[in-house]
Amino acid sequence: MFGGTWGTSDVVTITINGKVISTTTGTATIATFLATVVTNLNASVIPEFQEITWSQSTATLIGTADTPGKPFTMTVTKTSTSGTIDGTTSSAGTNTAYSSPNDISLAANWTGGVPIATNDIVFENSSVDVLYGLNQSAIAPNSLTIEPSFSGKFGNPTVTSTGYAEYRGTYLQYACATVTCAGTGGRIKLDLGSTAATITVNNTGSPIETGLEAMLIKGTALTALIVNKGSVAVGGLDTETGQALTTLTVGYVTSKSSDATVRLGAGVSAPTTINQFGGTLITNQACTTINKYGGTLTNKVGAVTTLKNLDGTVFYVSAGTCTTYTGGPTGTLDLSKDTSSRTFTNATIAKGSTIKDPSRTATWTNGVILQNCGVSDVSVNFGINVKLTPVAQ
Amino acid sequence: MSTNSWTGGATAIAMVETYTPASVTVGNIFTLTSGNSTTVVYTAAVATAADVVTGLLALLNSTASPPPPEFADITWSGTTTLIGTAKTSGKPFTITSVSATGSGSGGSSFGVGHTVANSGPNDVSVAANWSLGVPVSTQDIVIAGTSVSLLYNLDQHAIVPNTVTVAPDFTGQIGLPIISPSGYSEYRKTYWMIGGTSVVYAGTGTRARLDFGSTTTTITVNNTGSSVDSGLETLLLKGSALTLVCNKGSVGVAVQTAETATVSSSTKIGQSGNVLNDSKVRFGSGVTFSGTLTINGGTVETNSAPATVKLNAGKHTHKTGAIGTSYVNAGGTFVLNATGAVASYTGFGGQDVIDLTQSTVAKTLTACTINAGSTLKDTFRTGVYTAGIILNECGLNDVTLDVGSNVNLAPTFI
Repeated sequence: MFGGTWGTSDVVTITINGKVISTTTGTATIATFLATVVTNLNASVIPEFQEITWSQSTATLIGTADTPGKPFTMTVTKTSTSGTIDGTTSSAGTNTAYSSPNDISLAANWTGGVPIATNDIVFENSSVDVLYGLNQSAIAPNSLTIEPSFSGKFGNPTVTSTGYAEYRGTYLQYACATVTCAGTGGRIKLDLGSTAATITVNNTGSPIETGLEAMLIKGTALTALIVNKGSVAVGGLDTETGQALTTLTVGYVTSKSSDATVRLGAGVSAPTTINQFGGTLITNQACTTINKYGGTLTNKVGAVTTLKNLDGTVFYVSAGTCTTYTGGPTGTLDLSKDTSSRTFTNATIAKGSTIKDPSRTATWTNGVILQNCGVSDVSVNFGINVKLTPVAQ
Repeated sequence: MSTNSWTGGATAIAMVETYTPASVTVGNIFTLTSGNSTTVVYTAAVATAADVVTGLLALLNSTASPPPPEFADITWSGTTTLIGTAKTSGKPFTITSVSATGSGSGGSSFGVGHTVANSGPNDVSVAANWSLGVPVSTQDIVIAGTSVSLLYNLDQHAIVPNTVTVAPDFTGQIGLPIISPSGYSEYRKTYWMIGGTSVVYAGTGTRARLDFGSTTTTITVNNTGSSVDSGLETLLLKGSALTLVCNKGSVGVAVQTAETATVSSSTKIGQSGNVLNDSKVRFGSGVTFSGTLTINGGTVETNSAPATVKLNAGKHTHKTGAIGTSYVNAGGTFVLNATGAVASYTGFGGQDVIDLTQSTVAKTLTACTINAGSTLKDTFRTGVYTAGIILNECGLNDVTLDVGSNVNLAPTFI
């Protein structure tokens, strides 16, 4: 509702997601310049504005969401010193209440009203997406469980389908210490803030966003992540810095090689321990201890203090130092994926173990020890023009 | 130059020596000494020559207390003169005699008479055994077409023939074993001592022993027979300026105790089609290599160290000494059993093998470079690789490398 006294040179600015459309009044008559404002807004090619149908009722500017249940946020500002909006001379904007099955902040979407601390939150028997009202970070439920019967999505992509950076929130935020996911949705974005959380993932849907995992997790003090099956990333987006996870376990349910796909983004600080029993894991940071009993690990960045590779393949792409490497009977250390130099301070391999370093990227500070076996018992490729200095152990 | 051929045509005549005691008094001592320095001694009990001869005959023919075996090659008889007749016609013997005063009076004697000189088909000093008589320098000596062996009076080292040829159809022996059939250390010359210059050997006899002394000699061996002497090669060689080229055959160079030889850098061991088995050559611990030893085939054993070895094919077992300059293995099997260091080992060609598994002593390879296809066997980790093992222009997958188990490979890049 516009009121007060407006000058002909006053400017009215509508802002959504940091994008503005400004209109100079040109007249002191509110209804007249407001018509111009409406015309400008409806004519805009900015996608945030195109999601809204703009109209006026005498001195009132009306924005109506084109998609029922999908909220939008705008601000209206002015340069006029004597004109008012909603009775104030500073700035204003009044939202008409909306409702949506996708808004987690609405009591009507819950069996027991909007969750509160100590609740056990359960998502089941539904395909309704959780898209809006996502910032529930002040709530610390006892647990959060996503059952296999829930196929809806959590959160929004960072870029909307119409091409702008999402401003409504992309992660569902709870201060929940115990999370279990077996939902089959293709987007599950969960931000646990600074909660010391333990997350168990027994399943996810297939990712619906190219280049991203189905389940994206954020948290600055995550205690443990256990992925038995599903597609999961922690700090999976480049902008997600300051993430922390202490212990990661990657397992499998039926398919050792393909049940789990896990990635730790570059914004995740060094875990203390990673236990991998299967699946595919990509790390982008240092790690104190990696115990690998199966699956494929790609270590892209960072040093590893202790790396036990008893089974499966480690693609060591990182230039970080591995202080102690132990290769088991079916463990493969593959250094062939890039030509970065890296150092293995101590390396011991057993019969059946494989090392691939055809490009001679590694410096074996204290050599490569063939434990209880000989050269013919292992498959070792150190490249050409190599000097070996065998020393009995 | 003339060709002087071995005929072995002399008639065998038993050598006869007489030993006459004189001026005998009781207590005089009469001693017979063999070429091997063993003795038979009689002290006169009666002041007669007959007593001495009788006493010596009792000792020489005793079955209860037989004399040294050197004396058993001879038939002993006589009354006042002791008569020694070779049991084998054509086989010479050496028995000298001497008397001493002992507890008797001075003036006794025990003279030897060369009644019948040895002669026979095996005596190289007998003119009748040669087509042109006893060889002289500059002749071309040929030993061919006979099985008659050259066994006695073998010292002809003063003769430097132009050439010596032992043909394939010579099936006899040259020289004697160091232990005679009677069981004593042979005191006759066991090597035919001849200045060789240029020697070609292809005889198929079961024993041949040639000593070229200090004469610069090149001997080419194209064949030998199988050795009759257990543990010894068929053809044994000595010489202080020797070049050996062996294409086939069983050859030992200074392989017996205290024997010495010096071989030149032109020495080559090869083959005639059967890479491993044509040549079997052993160089004894008394061999001095004056340069490079080249092995193009055969099975070779060294017990002293050449400075440089080129192994192109075959098998070489090195047992003693440091190979001070280099060892280049282009395609054979090098069995290293020696503790002496190999200064620089290089294996290439794809068929090269170095095998350190045949002995448990530590072996040092100061520098070691192998190439694609190379094999290095060190199952028991006896090798000390001072400067490591360099995989030249190849990787571990390109070579066969066995450095045992529980080993730190310590790879670095070059």
